[in-house]
Amino acid sequence: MEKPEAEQEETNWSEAAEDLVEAGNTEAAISLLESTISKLEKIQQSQPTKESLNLQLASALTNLANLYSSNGFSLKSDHLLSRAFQIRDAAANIAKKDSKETSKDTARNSSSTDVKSFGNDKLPQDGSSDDDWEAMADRDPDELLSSQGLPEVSKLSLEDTGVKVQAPKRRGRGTFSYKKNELYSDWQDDKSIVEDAEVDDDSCLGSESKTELRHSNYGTRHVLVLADFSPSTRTTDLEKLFEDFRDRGVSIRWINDTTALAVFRTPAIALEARNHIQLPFKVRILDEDDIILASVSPRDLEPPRQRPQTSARTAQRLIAQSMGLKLPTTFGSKELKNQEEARRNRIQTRQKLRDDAWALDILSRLPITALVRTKCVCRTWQALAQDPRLPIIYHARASTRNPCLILHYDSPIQNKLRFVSINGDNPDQDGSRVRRIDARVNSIMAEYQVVGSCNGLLCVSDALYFNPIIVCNPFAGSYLELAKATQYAQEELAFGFGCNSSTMEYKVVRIVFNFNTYRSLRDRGRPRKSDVEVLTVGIDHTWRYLGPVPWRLNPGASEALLNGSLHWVTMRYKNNPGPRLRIMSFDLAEEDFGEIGLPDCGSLSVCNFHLVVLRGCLSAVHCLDDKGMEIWIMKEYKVRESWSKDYIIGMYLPASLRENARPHVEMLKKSGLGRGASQVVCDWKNGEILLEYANGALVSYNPENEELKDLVIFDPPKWFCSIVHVESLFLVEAILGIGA
Amino acid sequence: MASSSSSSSCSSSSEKKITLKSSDGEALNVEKNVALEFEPAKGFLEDNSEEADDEAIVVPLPNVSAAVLSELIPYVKQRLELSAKPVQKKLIKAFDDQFTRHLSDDKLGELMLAANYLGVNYLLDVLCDVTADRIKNKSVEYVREFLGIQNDFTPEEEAELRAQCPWAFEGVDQD
Repeated sequence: MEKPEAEQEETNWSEAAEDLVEAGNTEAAISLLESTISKLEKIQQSQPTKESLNLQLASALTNLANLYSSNGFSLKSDHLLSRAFQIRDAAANIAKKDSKETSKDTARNSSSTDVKSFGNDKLPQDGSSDDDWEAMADRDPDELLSSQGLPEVSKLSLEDTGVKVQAPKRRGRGTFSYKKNELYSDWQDDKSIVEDAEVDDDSCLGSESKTELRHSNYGTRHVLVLADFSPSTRTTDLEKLFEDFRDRGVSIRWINDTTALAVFRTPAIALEARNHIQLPFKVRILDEDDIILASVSPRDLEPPRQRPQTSARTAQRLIAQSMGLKLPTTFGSKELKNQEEARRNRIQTRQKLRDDAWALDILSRLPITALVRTKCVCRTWQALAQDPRLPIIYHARASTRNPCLILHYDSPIQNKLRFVSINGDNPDQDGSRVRRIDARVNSIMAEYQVVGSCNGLLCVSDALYFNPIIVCNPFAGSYLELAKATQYAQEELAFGFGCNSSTMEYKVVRIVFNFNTYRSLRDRGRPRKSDVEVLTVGIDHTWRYLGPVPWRLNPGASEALLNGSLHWVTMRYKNNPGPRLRIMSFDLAEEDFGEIGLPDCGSLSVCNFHLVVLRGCLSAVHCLDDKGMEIWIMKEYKVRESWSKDYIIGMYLPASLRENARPHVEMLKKSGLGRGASQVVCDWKNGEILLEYANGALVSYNPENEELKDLVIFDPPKWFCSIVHVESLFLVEAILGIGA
Repeated sequence: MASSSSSSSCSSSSEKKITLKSSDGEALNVEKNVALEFEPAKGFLEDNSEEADDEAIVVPLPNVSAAVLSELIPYVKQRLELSAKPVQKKLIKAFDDQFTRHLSDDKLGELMLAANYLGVNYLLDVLCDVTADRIKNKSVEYVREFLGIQNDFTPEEEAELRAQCPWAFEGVDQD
């Protein structure tokens, strides 16, 4: 028939969709399914009863729903799923006819003992209807539907759809001996589950003795005798004939291969049926004294009962109660069952997520060293420490704790990085131990400078040749080497590294000042110019030249990264226009420069002026000769009038610097490590400000009581440059959104 | 002080008592607003909202022992009172500190499980903080002991893991 063809079609689209999903192209799979569904819907409108079509549509809907739910559209998916259920439900009714036919055929072929044992199996269920409900609830919906499983279950689902007479159909008339009565008694027992149990128990017990009574109870006029039809006639054939009366209740009872009874609810209906339906065989109304009566159990003459409308509801209620959930108002038991399963799954996954989250929560609060250590605790914790959610939680929590400091220092052989995470609340205590970092930097270059730190990424360049430049997460041990930049014989470089928060692109900026250009006498008086190159990390393969800018920057790293812009201070040069010292900003999104008005703080030079971010504002630190420092805060970004002098920190010499003779500060400056005698590093969550003195001592300043306190850190390098850094677990590739 | 303020401030709602039944079968009477802080109890009460008499309701909490519940209930009660008033966060923090300071490691673990089960997130938050604080400078062995975890690594595996990031294993506090 058309069936194989339809199935062919089905496999085609479902396989295609699966292939797409496997290839990772979920969008395409969704659109394929959507078009399939709309196509099927069109056909379905013309042939609403075609079963294979309905099933196909249902499975397409289910597949689409799964795809949606995997994409997070749970509402859409739920809607589709419920539609699929409705269609399946409807299709199942049609399918019943088919399965009934096949089951009848098998029954016909099977031996009578099979049939008998089948009947016997059913008998014990009489007294344990409650258990059966529970058992049913545990079954798969498909199993519930299958008429091969439990006959009473199939009846149940029939109940749902309001089809009354199909229940006994599944039995072939086969070879059983009618008088043995097993099948019909079992049919009665089944009924008792759904119907009023008392009446049926009663009838079960006394069916034989009450024969006479029953005859008179119901009479015989409501029964039509169908006789002399072809032996190959099946129950379905007979039922089809009485299709019009299905709603009013009719059941077929077999007498022998060529005789059957059609039992109606009232004599009137029987009469009507006899008059209205053209039957191709003998039909008569059963008489009180008909000979057939002798071979008919009185039960078979019972008119088919209109099942109480509430019974399906009652069933659902029973199931629901035993499963301990509230009954939704309009769902069939199948959907109820599915809902319950989904609910259970949801609860389980939620519980799992919650348990994990709880452990992850603890992990995310640990400093990075402790976190790395927990990998060695046990396998579970190792797995947790590698949970893909952890870097995200950890990163989110990073904003609530103090950043760590990366200490960049020079050992006799090469540069090194150490780090220290200082707890702001009680800085003397834990965490203030300086630890090594196994950054791969050391294996790539010996002498380097830190270009910048942003969102847990550290950008480092070679200190002498400014190539290579790498971006790394020192804690995750992953790094990325950037494209080589053009190298000049004598150059001076200002760097910048930062993130454009709207696109999450990381960029490195090089501002190159080439000495050679101004070497000749003729060029000496010319205004100084620098060349700007930029590279988007992970995207650009070459440096992009942005053009020249008419100033020369203080070499080294950008001093402040704020509002998606990098900030530098320019070197003074008399031939350049404008004020001698300027604050330049570079917008990482637009890739253009801007200028920020200076605070009114007297005479400035690169040596006594630097930028920092405090309280989320651009801040300028003006170091006064022998008088400590002033800190200006720009309350409103790029509004010059909003500069205000908020802190004045007096002259201070940390204890550790008093005793020891220290290398000359100027020497440090030359190696690209130092920025001056004293400088502001960052502020802490508790409001204190961290200062670094002469590249060798860390001091915290409390603005409330203006107290300065030496920070005790264990094992500090003799002198160092501190870089504010956020501890992160992300691999470089993950942050940049490339590769893995 | 705590009891007096509770009886005066939320007289009508909190007078309704709910009975919580612990895992070891003990019944504890709590104010309804306290019981509502526990997610399973809240769900249970909502499901049985048609029951007119709250007094008759016994909420089973099969995952929490009476000992833990009796620690939790006063905490939640006081915490509720604190957060009802416009108090500073510092006060709440001080209260939390006071609550957690004297908890033994075992008790901490039990409370954490209970808070997780009962969905008392603010307590879980505090407890996680305390736990992190207690283990952050400790050796791997100490953490195992603390959490009652068996080491399921082979010595070779563990040595390899440690070799991956030796910096993390330097300078831990004495157990």
